[in-house]
Amino acid sequence: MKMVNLFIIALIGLSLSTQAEISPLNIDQSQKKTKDKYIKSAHDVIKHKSSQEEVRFAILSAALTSKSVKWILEDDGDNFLVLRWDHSEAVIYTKVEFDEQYIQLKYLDAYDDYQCKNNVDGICYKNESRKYYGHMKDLRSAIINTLSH
Amino acid sequence: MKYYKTLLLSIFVFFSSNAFATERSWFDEPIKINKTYVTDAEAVILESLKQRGWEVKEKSATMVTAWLNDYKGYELVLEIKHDNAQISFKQLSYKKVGCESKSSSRCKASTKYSNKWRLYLRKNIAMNIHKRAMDHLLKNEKIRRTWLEELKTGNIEFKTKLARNLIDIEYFNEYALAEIVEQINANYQRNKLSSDEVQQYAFFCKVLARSKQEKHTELLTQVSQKAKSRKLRNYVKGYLTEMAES
Repeated sequence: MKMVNLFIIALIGLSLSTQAEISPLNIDQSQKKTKDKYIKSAHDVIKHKSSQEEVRFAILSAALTSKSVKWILEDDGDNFLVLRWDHSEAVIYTKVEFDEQYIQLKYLDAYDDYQCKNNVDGICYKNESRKYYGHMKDLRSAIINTLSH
Repeated sequence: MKYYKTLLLSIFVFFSSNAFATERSWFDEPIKINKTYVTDAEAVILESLKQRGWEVKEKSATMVTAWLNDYKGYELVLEIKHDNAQISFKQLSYKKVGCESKSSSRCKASTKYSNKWRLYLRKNIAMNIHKRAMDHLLKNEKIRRTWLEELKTGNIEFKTKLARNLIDIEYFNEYALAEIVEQINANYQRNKLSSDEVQQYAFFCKVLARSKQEKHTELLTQVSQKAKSRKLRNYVKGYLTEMAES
């Protein structure tokens, strides 16, 4: 029985540490949510044909192109970067995941006005502030723009 | 009963694995570092302290005691620890300059200011790490070539925007600066620079000036004296003055 318990724990640990493959955004209409266009503007996948290193550079470069508040690197790993947006005591943490095909922005955490009220696997269906989707849209557009050059 | 225990343990595993589940504040969360490109965490901290006008009070192999000395009438001391995984912050003291008694209302120091100053320093450190990550990726020849190609072949609007962005984020990468020097050298004495081109080369010169690298002073001086455009000459004279004063 002990072995079964250990197996269950190991399985949970493994599922937390491994990252799910990125797949095109499929908005679950049964969720409590904001308008689809907002969710898409923030979390829709970005298709790319670049190498992992090129994608990483494009994300880092795009994160600093915004005229006002920049998204600054907070953490990174094999297939992701965590960026932090900081403005007047409000903070948004976004995990930018990428694989050979797609890039996707995922909600990780926030302080103050930008808490996600319905977070499903990093897709923020409903945020305290609609401005959240605007800031995410800017970052997503900047990444698309940088990759297109 | 055993399954109940397993469930409890699983919940514990979940929360302990979630780094963001712990109590923290917006201005002093530890910054994760990646040893691949942050080879010297202390250097990043010292660079950031200098940029934000902080002094170093004490220093050891894993810690820097930072001191914001008499800033707007306040004194703030932070302990900044660094190891292979992160840079963390702890406030040691915060008081009004010349005040020893905390009980006096005159000596009460509002945390509104200290939180902000700590955030700015934290942001600066994170930004310097961000730039190091970019520098590291630019060692890849293909990435570097693509990036510099934009600076070479982009239109005037794009080049101006890029130069303004480099100034804004204070990113003075050696490859970008070399390309900018090349383009200024090739064009500043041209007879008919359009007003947009003047703007572009002015911003290129501003990038060099803001980098505060002595090796660019000679070129900037030449532009300020020999450029055909009076407007460009005047812009660059201003940058040189700014550079000398900083």
